Amino acid sequence: MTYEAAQLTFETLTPWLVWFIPMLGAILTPLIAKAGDKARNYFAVAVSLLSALLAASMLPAALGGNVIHHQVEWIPALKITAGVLADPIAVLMANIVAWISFLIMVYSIGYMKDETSLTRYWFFMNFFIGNMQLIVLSDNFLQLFFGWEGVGLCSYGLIGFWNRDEEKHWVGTPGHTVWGVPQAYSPTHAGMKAFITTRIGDISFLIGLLILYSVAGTFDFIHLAENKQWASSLAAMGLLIPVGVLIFGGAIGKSAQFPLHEWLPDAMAGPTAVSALIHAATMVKAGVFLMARAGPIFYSAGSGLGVTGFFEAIAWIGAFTAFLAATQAMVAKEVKKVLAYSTVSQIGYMMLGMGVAGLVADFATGYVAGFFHLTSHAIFKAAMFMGAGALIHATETKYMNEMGGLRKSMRITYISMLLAAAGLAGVPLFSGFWSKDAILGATLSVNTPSAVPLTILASATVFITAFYSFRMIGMIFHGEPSHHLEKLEEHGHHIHEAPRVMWLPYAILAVATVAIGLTGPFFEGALHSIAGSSLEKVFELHVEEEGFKLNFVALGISIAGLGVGAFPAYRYYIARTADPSSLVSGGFLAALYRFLENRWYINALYYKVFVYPSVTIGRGLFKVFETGVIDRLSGAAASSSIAVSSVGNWIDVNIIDWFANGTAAAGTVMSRTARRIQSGVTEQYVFIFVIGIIIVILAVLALGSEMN
Amino acid sequence: MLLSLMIFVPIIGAAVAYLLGKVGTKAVKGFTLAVSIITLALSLSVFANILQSGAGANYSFVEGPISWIPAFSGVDYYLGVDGLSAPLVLISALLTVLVVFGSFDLITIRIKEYYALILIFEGAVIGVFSSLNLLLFYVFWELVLIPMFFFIGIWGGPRRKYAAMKFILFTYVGSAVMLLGFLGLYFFTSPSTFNIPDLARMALTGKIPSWLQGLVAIATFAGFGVKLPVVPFHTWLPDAHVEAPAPISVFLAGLMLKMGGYGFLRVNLQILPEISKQYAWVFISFGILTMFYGALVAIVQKDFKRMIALTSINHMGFVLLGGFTGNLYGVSGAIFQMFNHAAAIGLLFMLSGYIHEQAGTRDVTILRGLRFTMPRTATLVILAALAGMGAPAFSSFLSEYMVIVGAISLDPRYAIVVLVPGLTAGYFMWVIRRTVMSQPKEEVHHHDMNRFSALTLSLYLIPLILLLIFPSLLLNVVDPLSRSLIAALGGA
Repeated sequence: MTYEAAQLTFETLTPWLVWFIPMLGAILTPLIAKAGDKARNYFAVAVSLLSALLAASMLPAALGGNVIHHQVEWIPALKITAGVLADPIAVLMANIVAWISFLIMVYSIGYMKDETSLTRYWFFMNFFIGNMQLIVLSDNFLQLFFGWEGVGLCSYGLIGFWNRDEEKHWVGTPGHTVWGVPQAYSPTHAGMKAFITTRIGDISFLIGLLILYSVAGTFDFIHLAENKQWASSLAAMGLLIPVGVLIFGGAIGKSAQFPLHEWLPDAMAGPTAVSALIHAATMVKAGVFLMARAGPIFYSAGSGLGVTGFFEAIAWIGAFTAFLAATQAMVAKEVKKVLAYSTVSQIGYMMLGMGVAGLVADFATGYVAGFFHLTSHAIFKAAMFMGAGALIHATETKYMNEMGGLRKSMRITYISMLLAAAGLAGVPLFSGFWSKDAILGATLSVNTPSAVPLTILASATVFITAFYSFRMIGMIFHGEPSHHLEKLEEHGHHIHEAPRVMWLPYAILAVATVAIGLTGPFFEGALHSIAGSSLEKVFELHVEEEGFKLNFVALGISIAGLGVGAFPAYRYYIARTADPSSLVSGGFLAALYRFLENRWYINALYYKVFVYPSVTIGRGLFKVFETGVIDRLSGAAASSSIAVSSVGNWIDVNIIDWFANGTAAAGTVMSRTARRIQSGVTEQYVFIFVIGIIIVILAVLALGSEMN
Repeated sequence: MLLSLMIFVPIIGAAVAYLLGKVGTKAVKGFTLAVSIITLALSLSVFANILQSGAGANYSFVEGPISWIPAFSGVDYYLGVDGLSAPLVLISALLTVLVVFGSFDLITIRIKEYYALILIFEGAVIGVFSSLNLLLFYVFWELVLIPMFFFIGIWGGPRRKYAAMKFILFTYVGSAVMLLGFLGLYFFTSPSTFNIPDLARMALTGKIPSWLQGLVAIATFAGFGVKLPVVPFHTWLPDAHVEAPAPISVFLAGLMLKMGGYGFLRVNLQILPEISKQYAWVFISFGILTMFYGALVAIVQKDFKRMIALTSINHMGFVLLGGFTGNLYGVSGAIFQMFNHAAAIGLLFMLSGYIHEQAGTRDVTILRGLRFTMPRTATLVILAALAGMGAPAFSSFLSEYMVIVGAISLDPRYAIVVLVPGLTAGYFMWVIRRTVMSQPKEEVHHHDMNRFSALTLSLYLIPLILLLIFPSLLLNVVDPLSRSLIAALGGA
């Protein structure tokens, strides 16, 4: 073991504080709120700044390749410890989370200025940061799971933040239905949808985790990586790949990957600052981070046991999701929906990177690529979301076709969004260019038959991404102002730039996108050594000593894809030399448009297959049993008051009670039972029942003693 | 001496409390509170002593055996606590204090009788958990029924007579059959004895034949199964809960159900090890059935309290499942779960009482916007629901998943029970969304609970948070016992 088993010093205390301080801050928020709204707001932001500074203080050691690991006893009876593992990759992630969070907290001061119930908002935001850092800095799966559930709770609470469900906060196009399924959702509905969908993933995660623990006897990442016996035990039971895939199931839910991706687009019903923080930059990356932890463990422990199947699964899910979501972003009408689909798609890329890590010669290749893309995406996507929030505030609409021509009136937002979109689209010398290129390069070097289809999916996504990125920029900022905006002007509402407290955070992130882009190869090299030292020191994987390498095939694909995608976007939406609506007026493209707009029919299918039937069945049972059977059986309306609506209850009331009350005739009515008790009939039955049991037991005892 | 004090101080105190009725209701309440706090202090010292000495595997504070009915050998007054009973004695004393607090607002009639019965109940429950003689155990077991019958029958809701009758019939039949099992043990072992430690030793040395173990297991299943309750012997429970006043529901779910769990662990695992090992799958199946049934039926309930009652059934299924896994995770988890369940479900029942009191209904289809109308209650409801659903915010998470790990260690297919906390979380969130987070109807105006009540109710959460962060406070007491139980079962 190469880490130092450390005493509690400032160095080892810091990782604890990074997640504990925001949680404490969250709990104190209601108390501080008594001192006034301003004090509360600044307190909340200060807490996130403190946590970020502490995270930053861990950076020098991490860049030097040091691993800080500190453990305390938690459940000694079961040899379960609690601990923090601040290896380079975790410290990097912690800083991404902390600093983006801090900027978004600052932005929130402006963005949430006119809202009420802000105590709840700040509580959840800081509680979220704390739990996210808990995920990042945990040294074992169990503790990670605490944070995992914590961020889920915050996500649920914040999606449904506007729980009065006013029309303006709904997500989706009102009136749009697919197969009769409405496609517009209220914030509380969206929150519930997110909760239930991610819960499915969580249950999968837990099952995998508990099976892993029951075999390995530990949740500890380092122990799991060191003692590889568990992998062969699991493999012998035929459970190695299933357990891996079950754990991956958690990542699928949290990171909104196919088939559990449908919650994220509707999560856009939450405040935009929340979308930026939780549903773009950080929480949805938790799944990728989980794979950054579980991947190396499974890779090193399962080598030679056919563990590549696990990585194939990750890579395929990632690549397919990247493609699936990107296509939907092409036709989205709401600016936040474009960004949401784009987020799902880009996380698919990261998953692809984590998957191909296990399919190429050097694990670090895909791993670093995935992590690089996580970093660049977190930065440019947070910037775009915050910009979108500023736009929605300024224009009082979330539909892109109701914006238009804003490049002059909102210059800073325009430039920031443009830079960030260039990062997203993968324009050379922007951050996304390098990271996407790294993923494509890694995918190309996959040594299984999946290499070609995975590359095709990933390349197709490059071109689509370029298209929707510039479509969005064009629709919002170019062309003439829309009818809606003109009307606003007429009413004396002048479109103007967002206040500085809002634009500064996203301008900073846009600049960061450029900075990372300009230093791309150097940045990737540094990341390679950071991730490499994590892999070598924590997971004992061998890493090849090479940093950045440009893959020219990947480079060609991404530049070609960019050109092919950006050109039509430029023509239709920026230069506006052709009318995009003519494209979809008929024929194949119109059908395709409908298919994409209807979310590949997956959302409607889920409602038809899972949501509605359960409600219908419930109602049907209620109708048949409660009103049809029970009322008739009892004959007395009063007696039906205790009958409740399900089969279970029906059995309860009609069968089990019937047994319970002795051998009273079928169709026993409760009110009559009560009378029977008083008239002594039931006592007789009970008496006979007891005597019967006594006789049976005595008889068997007698026989038994003879046998003895 | 300490254990006898904890049993008889409350029981004798009951008479005093009743007589104090002449002085005034304040005196009755104050006295009852004082007695229950003294008992809590005693039980804390007992628990702390065992924690410190690490002697959870053995009986501590042993009294006796003192011959009780000299004509029969082995009928002794015999008390002691170990790692299984010490946590249960502690939670009994703790819940009694909290129930006394909770009754101040909610109980308004026949004060002196009520508080006297509370103290009798406390003494009897502690007697159940600390008896080392099966006959003594049985006497306390039956003594518990009497106050509970009156609690439901006198202070209950509109259908209290029916519920009380059903309650007494079920539990009485169950315990009568259980007694037969005890008698069987007594007469077919030599030397005849009711003393649990002696019987456990005989079981270890193979002196209790397996046919006898089997019969006793069937008989005690009736007694413990009705109490726990195991589906399908559970139907008395929702009725009893719906009618019982909220503080009594705390006793019912928090302590009485534990008697069933305690019986399974104490009698089945220690005295009937062969059957418990060979037919573990039967008990485990009943446990899983109970968990799923409780969770599924809870989903469609409209009455908040009935829903909690069924949740409580599903939680107790964990105890049965964990106990019979025969491994450390399962057995320790089951005991841990009993402790956590008592606190979590107790709070939920108290809250249902406050909601009923203030809003006039517990119907989740009618209740709206508690977040606005009753903010203190609403906050507590959310926290208690998190504890009830096994969210990783309270120690109930640890115990539920310890049990599940125990089951998975037996067979990975048992992983299916992870769905149970999933279901529980689902219906709790659904109910919270409808009742707490929704918009209130314009005309509704409720009073919230007062600060004092909110404070006393928060006390339920303290052990749950404390044990999440420091589970060893409990597990270091439980763990040695679990290990010795498992060793006796011949497991790892």
